[in-house]
Amino acid sequence: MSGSALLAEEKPGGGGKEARTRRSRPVLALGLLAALAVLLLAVVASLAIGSGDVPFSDVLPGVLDPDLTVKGQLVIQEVRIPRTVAGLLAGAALGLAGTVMQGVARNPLADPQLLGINAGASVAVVCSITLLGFTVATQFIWFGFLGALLAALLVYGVGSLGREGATPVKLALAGAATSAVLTSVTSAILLQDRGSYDQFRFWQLGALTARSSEVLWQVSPFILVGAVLALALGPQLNALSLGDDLARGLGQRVGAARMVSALAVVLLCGAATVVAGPIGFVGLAVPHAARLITGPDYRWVLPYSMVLAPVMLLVADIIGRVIAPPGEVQVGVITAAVGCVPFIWLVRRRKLVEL
Amino acid sequence: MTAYEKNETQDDNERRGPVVAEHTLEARDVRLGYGDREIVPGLSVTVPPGRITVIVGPNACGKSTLLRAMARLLAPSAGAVLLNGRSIQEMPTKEVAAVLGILPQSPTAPEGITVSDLVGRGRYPHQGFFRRWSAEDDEAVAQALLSTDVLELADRPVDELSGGQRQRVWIAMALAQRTDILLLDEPTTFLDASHQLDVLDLLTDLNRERGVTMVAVLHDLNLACRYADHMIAMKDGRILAEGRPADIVTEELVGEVFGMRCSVIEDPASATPMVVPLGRHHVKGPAA
Repeated sequence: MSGSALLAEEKPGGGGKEARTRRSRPVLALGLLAALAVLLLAVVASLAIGSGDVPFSDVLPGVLDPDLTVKGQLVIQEVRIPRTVAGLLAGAALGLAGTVMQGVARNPLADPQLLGINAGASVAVVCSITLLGFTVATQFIWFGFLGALLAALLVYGVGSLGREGATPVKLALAGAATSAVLTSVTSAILLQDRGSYDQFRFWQLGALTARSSEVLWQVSPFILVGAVLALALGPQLNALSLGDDLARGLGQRVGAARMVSALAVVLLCGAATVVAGPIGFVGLAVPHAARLITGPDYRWVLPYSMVLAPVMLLVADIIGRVIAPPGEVQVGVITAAVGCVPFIWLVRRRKLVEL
Repeated sequence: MTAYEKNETQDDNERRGPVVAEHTLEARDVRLGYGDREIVPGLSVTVPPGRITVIVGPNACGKSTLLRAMARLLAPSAGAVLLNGRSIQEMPTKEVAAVLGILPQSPTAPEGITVSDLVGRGRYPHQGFFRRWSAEDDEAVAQALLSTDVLELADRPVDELSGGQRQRVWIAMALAQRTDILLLDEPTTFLDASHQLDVLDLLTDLNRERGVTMVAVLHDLNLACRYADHMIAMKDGRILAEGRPADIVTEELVGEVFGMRCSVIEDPASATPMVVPLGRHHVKGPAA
């Protein structure tokens, strides 16, 4: 103990540590405000930029007090606001879901797309529309949740086979396989039905344009509940990230934390898929970007992901609107194209194999 | 071999610290295993409070399994682990976590986490949904950093530390939890000789100064003999002997437990038993 006694004389009271934590919290809070400001800019850009001819002077009136006889304000009201809200909802949901999944699975590759959850929701919704004939969102939204849940159970079940349980590698393999199968089922169903193919094409790739504002209203309570659950999971994910044994040793009910996490993920992924189809890479890349800013504390990673993911989605959508005039490129294509860069960077980084 | 004498009684009282531990931990007739594979076929043991208990035994003898059961990480298929007389599996897990801390074998830290943040996570059981970080938490973390001698590393990422530093940080995390009982699964694995001593000295300090009850699984028999107040020797899921190392460590026991010929002499530094292994080569003269 002589070493530490000596140290105590050198650094009384551990003041250095306190000073550090007190500084970093306001910094992170300010950073979150800055991220919100960036999100606001993205929202404005999403309202102002697009293929339709809308002068910038129409944007603000078009949102606040629309005069629907003015064409620009009509476009804002009918097209761009739903599209932007869809981006906000789907983005926040995917960012949070990806963060929760990475935390629970302790796997940097966990993502609603890679683990097959979005594909599950997508195939269930497509089945309910084409095979069962549901047309109203209030009906097929439940199929979205059901599909997400079944895919999650399937992936977790297959990934848990064998003695060591659900290792990250097995989960990722099971997820990739499930995702591939379900995506091809979706394609097969859609190709059968050439008439509706164009209309439903976004169920394969993801787009922000396809949903009416009623759907958005119906989905938003689910996203709200999922977001509240996910944001409250910060301390649990922090404990889980030390490993199951330590989390239990620290007094966490690991099974209960997993259940709540799964519930949040199914709600968020199901709802996000109903809004925008199966969009990939947002749930994967954004939590890593957030972690670069915040460090590994999930109480901060979660809110940052919730704010940054819609930024990425909206920016991708804006790029898709202007990149190939007069047509548009679906947002799912852009996120995959943009998202593969951080993905490769991530794979090339150290430690991935051990995880 | 008669060189070793039991001359420790007086010294032994001295090395035992002030007993402040009030909590008791015992396993009663526990059967333990994974799936169909039974590893411990019924075993009872009581952990002496305020002492350092070391479990030794060959690989796969069930020592880590027993430790996991005592840490409630593994539910016994029969029998019970009792903390203060209550079944540990039936207690609220946070209540257990306020009394009993664990350090698993080679834990992994989240990527990029700093030392002080990792140690701060040891405060989890003391935080509720509405009770957030407090001055008491700050103090517990600072003291844990101080007593494990890692205060100057507080802002460094754990990934960048050496093995010895990292192990001290993990022990600091367990200390920040402020429990009266600490269970450690091979806390000296992967450490070089001097860092093994550092860690065991640190655990002894904590035991003597705060009366923390320690239970550790160790591989190094001689360090176990030196640092244990109470030793448990296991083989094939059974306890073959338990007691003070000076009382139980004999050539016969080591032969029985590890299947290894040896001679037991007195450790010149600590006057505890010292096991000198005898292999087929490099043994002078006819074997003892």
